[in-house]
Amino acid sequence: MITLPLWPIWMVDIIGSLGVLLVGWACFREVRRLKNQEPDNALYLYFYWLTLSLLAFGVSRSGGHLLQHLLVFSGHQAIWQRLQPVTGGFNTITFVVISAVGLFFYHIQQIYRRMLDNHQQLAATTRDVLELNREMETLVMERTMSEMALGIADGIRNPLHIIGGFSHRLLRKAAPDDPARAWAEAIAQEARRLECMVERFEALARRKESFFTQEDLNIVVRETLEMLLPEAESKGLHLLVSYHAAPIYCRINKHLVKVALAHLVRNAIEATPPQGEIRCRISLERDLAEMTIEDTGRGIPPELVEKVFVPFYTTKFGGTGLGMVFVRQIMEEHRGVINLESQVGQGTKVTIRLPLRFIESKLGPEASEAESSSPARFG
Amino acid sequence: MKKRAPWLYPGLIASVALVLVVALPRTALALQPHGPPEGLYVHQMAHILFVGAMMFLLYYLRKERLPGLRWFTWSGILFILWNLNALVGHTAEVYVEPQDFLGAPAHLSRRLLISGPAAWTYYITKLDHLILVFAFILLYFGLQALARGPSPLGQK
Repeated sequence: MITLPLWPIWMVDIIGSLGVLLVGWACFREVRRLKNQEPDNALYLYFYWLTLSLLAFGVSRSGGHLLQHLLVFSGHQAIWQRLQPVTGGFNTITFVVISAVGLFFYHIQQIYRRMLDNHQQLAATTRDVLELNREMETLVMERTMSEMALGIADGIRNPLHIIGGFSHRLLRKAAPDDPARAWAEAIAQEARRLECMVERFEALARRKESFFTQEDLNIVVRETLEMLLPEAESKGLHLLVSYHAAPIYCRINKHLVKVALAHLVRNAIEATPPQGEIRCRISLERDLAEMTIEDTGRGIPPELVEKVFVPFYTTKFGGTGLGMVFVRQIMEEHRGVINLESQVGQGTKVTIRLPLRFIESKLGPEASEAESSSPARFG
Repeated sequence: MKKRAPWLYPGLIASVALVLVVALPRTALALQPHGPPEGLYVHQMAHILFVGAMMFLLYYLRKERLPGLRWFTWSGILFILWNLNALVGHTAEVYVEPQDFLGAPAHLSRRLLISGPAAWTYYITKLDHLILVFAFILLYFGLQALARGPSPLGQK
């Protein structure tokens, strides 16, 4: 029969236990330093608790083993017999704690990831809102400046015409040797110079209207719908559009109008169940360009219709409650109006009217009389 | 007058049950005994949980590609091996008889009689610190690498 000495096991056990205590403590110090550097770092927190529980295991196990050798070799084996189940129990508890830390971290990590996603989404939304707001401010400022400049030019031109007219009449009536003739001539000349200046000023002011450009609403709507078609198709919705037969040229900010239209169509997509319809129509109604977006969605209860344009009011999870507010503001900056009608279970219809005074010369009488085409499937 | 069914008298039923319990006592089974093998079973189950925690660590680290991945991976593998070693060792211990230990308990000349595979297994698995210490050392290196590397993205 083979017999093996037990002292190698004891030596490895004693040295190993001391090693575990030492390295376990070093690990804990390292990870504690990391955690103190970045207390909010979830990963460092996980390693902190993992290492702490491993250290607890190391202390419990190695401490127990060292105590065992101490008691046995000092002749107190009976005491060790009583202590052994206790240290063994502690070891078991530390194993459970180590696994609990991992399990807990796994779930915390999932929650944390979701929170991080929401945070990033919120940051992106805030950035978009701020950008949109900046564009709105620029638009308002440019439009106001242009209107003021044109108003001033208008205000100056009328008295100038009168001054110029009267100075010419004075010139015609004054005798050639009349000393007032030279004065009237000077007045007429200066009036002409002022008129030239006003004309240059007006031309400059018109050029400043660069934020507004002549755009065909048919094209603006088509481009917006092209962008949103994949979203509608992925939900199995039918996107029907009826353009005006002739181009409807408006002086608009194309980007902002597209933002507003996209928001309205997205709302319709969200509200409409699969196989539902979203109808877009562009037409001319007397002196207004009219765009309607109609869906067959769930509709909005009457008590909520009034709140649609109230800032920060939202029924969507994660919504800002600013989308429809911006849409209305964009329309108002174009001197337009927006109207929303909805019936629960039947759908919602949003009507946008842009005044004709933004519709410039390209829109001929034949265009205004032209009929809208019948709705056709978009895409 | 219509008589009510007996189950409509909950007070009466409860009183009868109480009398039966008090009048006919039996062995109380509410507290179960916890005999010696239970501690071993719980400890072995805890080792399996430990293995699970280390496997999660390995899975997570490989997914996240953190600094010190190599050290953490080997540390996790060694911790798993140590747990498996301990599982086997605890099982082997059951089959080693007290009379297989020869000599006085507190004497360096004490020996183990290798009477079969269980004794061999017991002897070898008792040298578990050869795995455990290295698992801790590799964990330490991993933590150092983590501290030296860039702060993990998406964690703050």
